[in-house]
Amino acid sequence: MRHVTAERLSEWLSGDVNERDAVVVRAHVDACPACAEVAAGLRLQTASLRDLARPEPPPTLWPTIAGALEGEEGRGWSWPSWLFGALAGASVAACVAWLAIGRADMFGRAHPGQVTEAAGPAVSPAGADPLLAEAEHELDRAAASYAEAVRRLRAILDREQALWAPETRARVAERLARLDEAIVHSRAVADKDPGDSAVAEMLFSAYQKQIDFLAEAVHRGSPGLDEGLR
Amino acid sequence: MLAAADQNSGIGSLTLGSEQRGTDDEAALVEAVRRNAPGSREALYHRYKRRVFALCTRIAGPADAEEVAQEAFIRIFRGVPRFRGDSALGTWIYRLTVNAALSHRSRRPPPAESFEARATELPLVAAPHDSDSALRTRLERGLEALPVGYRTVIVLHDIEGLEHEEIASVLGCHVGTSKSQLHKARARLREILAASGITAADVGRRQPERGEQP
Repeated sequence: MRHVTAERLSEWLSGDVNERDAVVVRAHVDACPACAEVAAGLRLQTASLRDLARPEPPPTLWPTIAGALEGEEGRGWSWPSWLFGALAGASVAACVAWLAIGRADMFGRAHPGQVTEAAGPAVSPAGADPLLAEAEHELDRAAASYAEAVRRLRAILDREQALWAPETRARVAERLARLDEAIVHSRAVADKDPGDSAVAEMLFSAYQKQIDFLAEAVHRGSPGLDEGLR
Repeated sequence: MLAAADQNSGIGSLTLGSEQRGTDDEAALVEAVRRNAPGSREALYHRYKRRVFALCTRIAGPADAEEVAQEAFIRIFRGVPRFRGDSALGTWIYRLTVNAALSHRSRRPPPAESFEARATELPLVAAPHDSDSALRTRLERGLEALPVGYRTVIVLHDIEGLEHEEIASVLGCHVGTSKSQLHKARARLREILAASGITAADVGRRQPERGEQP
């Protein structure tokens, strides 16, 4: 005797076979204990599935959703206005720093660490040279403006990331760590040689890259960023 | 003022000044969420939280359920202003939730681990006294072992109680596809359960539900 498949029995139990086929299946099931058992099992399986309780969502679910929605609305899906202010401040300070460094160069001041023919390594601290001191001050001011923009963007990103997949969060963290390293490295070089405009430019460029990445992450969110990170 | 009530039912009821029910109630809730009326989002959340979370748990997996449910609700609240009422609110919410769960699954497939391997965590034959909970666990794990397409349809039909027309609307497929997937899924689940030592007799031995006739 050829048995009826479980799939066919399920169709029969659900009334998804035509009348003629239903008569044939019923006749077989009545005569075949094996198929009758499968049909009974399918019936019980379906009844048991219907009895499965819905799991209770964790109490943290709503606060997280509400927080994410508030964050979104607070941001209004546009670039935050404070970011323009912070970046404008950073850019102005960076330009001033660059000009101050240029002036120091123009007046032929030796940069700390610069080797001169006559005197060997120049060891005069920036504080001893008003132009270099000004350059260093402006460098600090620009770096502080950039750092503040980074800090605020990171705070927004931290909130956003609560909703992201762990892999995306890990990739973002990895990228930020690399950008952090570039800033730390550039800052160390700039501190050693505050009169070098190329080094200052490298530092500001490192900050700008990090800000661009953070702003993009906050603006595009996980799905858009996921594509870009692959 | 909107207030969420009956939070444990999973269906919930909503107090909207007077006792409105059904589609009027849904329309009022949607309108309130659109206007961002105080408490309206939370009311919508409480009304659907268990359905959404259960779907996320069973389609995306328990480990990722919370994350997927968050994503689903964010999509729901973002989408409410564009909800035109072409389908029932519940069907639309199911659609967004299933989409969120399926896209999550496609981004992050579960670790390769056979159901048989996981099934060894439980005794093959359930003890008489804990047969009910053990069988439920086996059923849940059996569902997890199904291919995601089968699982989605069997969860929507046999657990959530949707009709094939609703499933077709949720999944954007034909009614016939929903039916054929369901029967294949049931047959496959039976095989999986049998492979882990669960028979029809075991399932039949389950303890009656509260209020259910023995």
